[in-house]
Amino acid sequence: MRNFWILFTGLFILHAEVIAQSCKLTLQLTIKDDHSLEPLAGASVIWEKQNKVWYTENDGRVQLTNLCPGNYVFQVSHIGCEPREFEINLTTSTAREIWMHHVKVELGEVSVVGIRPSQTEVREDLRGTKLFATRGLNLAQSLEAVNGVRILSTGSTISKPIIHGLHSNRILLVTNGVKLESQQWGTDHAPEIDPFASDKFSVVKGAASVRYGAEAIGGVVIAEPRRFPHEKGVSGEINAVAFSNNGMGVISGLLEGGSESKNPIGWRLQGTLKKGGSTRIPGYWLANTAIDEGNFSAGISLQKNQWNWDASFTYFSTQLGLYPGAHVDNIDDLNNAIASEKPLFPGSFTYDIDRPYQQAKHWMAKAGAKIIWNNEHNSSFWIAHQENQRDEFDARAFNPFPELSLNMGTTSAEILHNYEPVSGLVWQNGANFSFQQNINNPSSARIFIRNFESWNVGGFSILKLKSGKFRNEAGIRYDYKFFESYYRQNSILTVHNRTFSNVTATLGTYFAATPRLSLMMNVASAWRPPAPNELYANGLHQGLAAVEIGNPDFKAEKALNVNFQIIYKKDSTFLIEGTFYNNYINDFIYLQPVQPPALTINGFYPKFEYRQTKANLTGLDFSTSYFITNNVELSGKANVLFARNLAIDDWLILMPADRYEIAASYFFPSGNKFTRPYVKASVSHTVEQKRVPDDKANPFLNDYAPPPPAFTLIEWEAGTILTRSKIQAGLSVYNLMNTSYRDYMNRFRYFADEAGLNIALRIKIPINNK
Amino acid sequence: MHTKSVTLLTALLLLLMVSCKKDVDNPGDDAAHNAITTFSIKFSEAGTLVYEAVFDDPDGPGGAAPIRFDEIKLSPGKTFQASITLTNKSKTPAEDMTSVVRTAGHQHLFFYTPTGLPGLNITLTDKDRIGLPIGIETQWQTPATAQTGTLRINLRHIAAGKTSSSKETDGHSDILIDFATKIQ
Repeated sequence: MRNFWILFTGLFILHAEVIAQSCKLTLQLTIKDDHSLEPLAGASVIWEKQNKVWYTENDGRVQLTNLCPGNYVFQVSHIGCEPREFEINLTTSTAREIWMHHVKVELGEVSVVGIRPSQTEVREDLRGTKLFATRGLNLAQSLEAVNGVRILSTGSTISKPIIHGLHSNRILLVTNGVKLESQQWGTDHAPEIDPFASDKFSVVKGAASVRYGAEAIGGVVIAEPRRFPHEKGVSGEINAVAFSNNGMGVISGLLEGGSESKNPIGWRLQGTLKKGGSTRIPGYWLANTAIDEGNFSAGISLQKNQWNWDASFTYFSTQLGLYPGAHVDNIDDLNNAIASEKPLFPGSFTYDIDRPYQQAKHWMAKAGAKIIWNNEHNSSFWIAHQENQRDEFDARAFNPFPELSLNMGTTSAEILHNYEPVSGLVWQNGANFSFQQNINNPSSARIFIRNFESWNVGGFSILKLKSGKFRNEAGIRYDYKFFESYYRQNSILTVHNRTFSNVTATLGTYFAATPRLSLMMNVASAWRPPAPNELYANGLHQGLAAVEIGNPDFKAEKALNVNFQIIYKKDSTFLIEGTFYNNYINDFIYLQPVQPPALTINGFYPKFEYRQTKANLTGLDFSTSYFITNNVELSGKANVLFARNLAIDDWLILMPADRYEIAASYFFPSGNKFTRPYVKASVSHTVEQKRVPDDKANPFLNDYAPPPPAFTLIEWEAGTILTRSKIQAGLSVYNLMNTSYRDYMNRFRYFADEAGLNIALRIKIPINNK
Repeated sequence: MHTKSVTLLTALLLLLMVSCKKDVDNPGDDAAHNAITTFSIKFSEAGTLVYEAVFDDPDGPGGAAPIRFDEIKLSPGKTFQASITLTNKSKTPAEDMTSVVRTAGHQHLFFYTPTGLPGLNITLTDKDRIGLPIGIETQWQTPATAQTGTLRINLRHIAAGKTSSSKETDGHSDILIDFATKIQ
């Protein structure tokens, strides 16, 4: 470990030695509409290479200061205009005018789940109006707006994102630039991220281990931090959302400001409160399904010479009631619950939370800097510490303590260097480090996850080359992990350690065949060390009656993922996108039901063993949208997945069923009062999952109950921005027909229906004091 | 200046790691508190112990299989007083759980369900603090003829509170044992 420190410190110093050029140039841009000749306020100028953005003032002007001499490419965009690239070779301070072309169909620009064609990975953003229409929902529910993202739920309050069939420890969640470290092995442990803290989410679909490290087998969800303002004045926004189904109210506020000095400072404060009551399923109240959440974050940024420092603190806290009828204790209870048409536990509307419930608290502190040495070299680094406290309270209790109480602390750091010797060629090198400790608090009644300590180091190198119509990317990474666990039974301490090391690589190419047609293909490997539950579980997994048995000798999972994407885009009126993927995973860990069931003092429990197999996931995501007139847009989506367990030549359990969606939107012309008002109706159909394990000799080993039937849901949505006050308002109606249905990807499918009709009203009030 | 910042940051990283360090390598014993690992039912006739049936799984659910699982054997045509003892043996010293259940008696109810044992009558003789039966203490009247069957003993934990009409499907199961039973 000592060698690592020397190397790590050495890397820092090495960076500091790179000599900076004088970077004092100023570029003044004025952005105007080429039709009306009016200056455009609020147009964005993005310097993608440095991930920087500026916005024009009311006079259409923007000043870019502290630039180094050299070649620059900026993305300029404005609502209602076709985005354009602007290239300049800067030798002295200068001023330029940029003319933007207004598109006829205003609404193409509102499209919002953006597909980024210039990457060599399948990546999609959620932002703008589309993100606004998900406000108040939890992270996974919000991300469902991204094609190919599905959700795994436990009742109505807990959900986790699934990307291309994979979830939990097989996808990575990155918040504020740092990997979220919590008990993500649990399928009923929702990510501790407040969606309001971000104004953009990026989803990388497919393996991305080279850049993000172990566990990124299925994909990466990036909650992008908002950019700090570096100009004078205070601004912010207030978001308020109300839901009819469970009487849930969400309020979130954000305040940010900056100073325009030689060394500009930016700051931000943000907080969210959420309180919801019992969920209404068609015909019944679902007992004990209230939710209580409170989050806040604060950040500060300081720009000094080429150094751009930032520091932030994030806190997330949630308490979630769990429907007690799903907290079954043995096969008899489970079968009683499955057999019952209505929920066995009677419920009424309440905001109170009783046992069983979960409580999770998470904080993260981060500090780091970006340094622009010169036009060729730039670096960044950060250090972060996060603490996760998870308490689970079972249905039955003789004392007030949680039955499971885990505390996890993670210190991590990253250092990154970009080198761009010529335009179009970027060489990125980086190293990551993390140290993690997990401890069972003394009040914990059962040790489902052992105490452990884990050291991780990794280094990677990525080369990106743009030439003509091609963008190519190649990368390689090495990871090392040391893992040691501690367990005591009958006063005997067992210490067990494992080491894992792995090389991953990625290769991708993007080809802009014509201005409208682009093709992208990548091949990436990824890996994941076994999670502590997969190694050491040996006992009752409370909640869903099951005895689970791990294997301390498991090997790491290794995946080889191929993605092929084709995009055809005509202006902003017609888009068709298809992604085909294949993910082959060696030593894929899954739960296999085994015989005989475990006899306990509380009856028989189904018994499961973690096993390793070769798995293959093949799928297709498809989306299209077409403006048939200037005001009417039709769109469609499809997700298809075939997930096979190759060792036993059968389907893999718990994979999302195929889903199809069509939608129609009508955009009213903008007026003096309302900007871009729209209404949208969509119909989605999820088929019955028939691709499930089918052990004909032992049908009782397949699942507790067969997958629920297919269902069709209708949703309705409307929204607008008030032209003068810039207040944004939206209305969403979920499950419009109050359909009774159960989703195969909800762990509560055995016990209760999904939520019924739900009407959400959203409002966003901007605060501006500039 | 750069070297200074770097030293500062490295120091910060070390400080974070040291100050947030946990006592992970000294775990507590994996002893489920308030778990019931062992069930015993003792039958007495006129104050004299005549039979005891035990279910014993000292390490709790999962892990090793139960080490003792007796039959219930009783003589026909008699009246027995039966009394249940519950223990948590995963702890050292073992914890008496009978009193824990009795204290929370208003949330607990034993159900005795015989299968294939016509004429076996079991009456709950104890009361919780609200005057409803619990079923730790029972009276058994065995049939006059020899029988073989199963007796299910199910302890329900009814967190919402027990009533005089509580059913076996209410609440959660704390104990569920199917004893092979012989009247001979």
